[in-house]
Amino acid sequence: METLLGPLVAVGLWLGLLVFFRAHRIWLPYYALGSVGLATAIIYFGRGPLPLETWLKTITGIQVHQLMDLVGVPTRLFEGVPGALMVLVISQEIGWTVLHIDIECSGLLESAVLVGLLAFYPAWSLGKKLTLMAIGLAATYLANLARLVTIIAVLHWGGKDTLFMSHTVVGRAVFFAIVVLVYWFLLTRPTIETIRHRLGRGVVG
Amino acid sequence: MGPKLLKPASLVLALAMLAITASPALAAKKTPTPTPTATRVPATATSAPPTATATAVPPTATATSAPPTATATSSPGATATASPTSGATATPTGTAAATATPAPPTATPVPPTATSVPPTATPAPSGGPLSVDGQYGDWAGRERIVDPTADGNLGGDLHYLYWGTNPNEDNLYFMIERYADSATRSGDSVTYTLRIDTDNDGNFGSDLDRVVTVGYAPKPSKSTVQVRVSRATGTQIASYSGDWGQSDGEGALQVEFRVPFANLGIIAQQTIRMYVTSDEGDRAPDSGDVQWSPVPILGYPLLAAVVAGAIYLVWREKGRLAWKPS
Repeated sequence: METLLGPLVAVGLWLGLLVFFRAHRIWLPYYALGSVGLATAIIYFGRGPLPLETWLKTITGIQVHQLMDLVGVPTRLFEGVPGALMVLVISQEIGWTVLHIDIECSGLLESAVLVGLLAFYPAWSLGKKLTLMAIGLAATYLANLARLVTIIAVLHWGGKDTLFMSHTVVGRAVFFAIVVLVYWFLLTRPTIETIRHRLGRGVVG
Repeated sequence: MGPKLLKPASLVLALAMLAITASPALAAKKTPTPTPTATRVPATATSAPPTATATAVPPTATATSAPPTATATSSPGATATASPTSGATATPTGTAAATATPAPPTATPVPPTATSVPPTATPAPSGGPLSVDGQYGDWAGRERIVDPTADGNLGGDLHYLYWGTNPNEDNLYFMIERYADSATRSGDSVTYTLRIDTDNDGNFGSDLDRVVTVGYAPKPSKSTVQVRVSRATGTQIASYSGDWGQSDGEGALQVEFRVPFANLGIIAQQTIRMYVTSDEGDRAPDSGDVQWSPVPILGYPLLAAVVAGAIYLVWREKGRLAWKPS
């Protein structure tokens, strides 16, 4: 409980500031503070008191394992180490490579940021926000699966020397490309449409 | 609310990603986090009481005239020696094994906790943190490779190689298990050789690579385990010994040990390769090796830079579109 005292105080302070900004209709600080705060809180509590990260790592590992099984790439999971995935590498000399699905590869960061950005966007209704959140979280999760499948495929057929390239360059490029698309379709494009609509109606500011 | 909200939205995205990826508190977790759903294997061995002693071996090459000694800290029931050698990286500085800082010999045992890093919110492994204590329940569900039976001679037919780390601790832990032997040979001694390619180049014979030799001699009610860490080119770096294996009465199958990062010449974010052999002709894995990086391959600063770059590009594009006349 002592370790939670500081974060809980910070949450209280954050909520107080949000109420203040909202009550005075100071939207930019409200949006900035709300988005960053919520994303940070999700990640902080998701890694500690709430088993969100462990859950994400576990389910991601299981599903990647199942996907690779479909295409005939042997992988191994370890019940005591969620997110650890051992991949059979067949190029060069046959052997194993252990990948760890950590916070970066769990998709938790991107999901939390997406939720933060959508949750405090003042222009949209709650229903629209929730819908976009559901779509965005699903898309981010699938993008992460695509990233991991790509990494494993490159490793499996490319050999152990490709570990850095597959993880740091190829896998990340795939993931970021998809995430940029997700953000475009869920945030940028609807925002532009909203603004155009309001400009057309003369409701600006 | 209006067009001005577009750029702030992008700015917030950038701030949020950077804040998240650059946060030291969020980056503190560097080791796997086990799940609480794993089953725990009942312990099959008892540990000896702490009786650590330390002896010093004179350095094989040194320019100092002071009496070089080594202080050693190890696990309960352990003795440790260290042989400082010359060269930039030859000096053992392990927290759990040896330091080459000239100091008077000491016989004071140091608790097995090798680092004094304060605890964090990182959850402990399901079977508890790994420790070298002759108890093997903490290995349940850990990363391992399985070796087939009967591909090695009796007494040295490898079954499992386990490995792992503890949060905020600079040690690699290993556990090796062999297949059960016939009753008359259950107490056979065996020597395992763990080869570690520390520079991840597929070559296990360079001066940077390490060879960890584990001599395991089970006795009726205890065991003797001698661990020696050497360069692949032959220079010994450190050695430790203790009752870290199963006794004859416990089956004489499992032995565990740990090696500090410092003795291996690696840091936390370093990818390594490894395989183990027994002196009875077995090898695990049977071909190739196990490639393993205990922590994320890309550090958080570089990740933050990549994220910031991507966000900047999006922001630029977004801003341009937002202000484009309709």
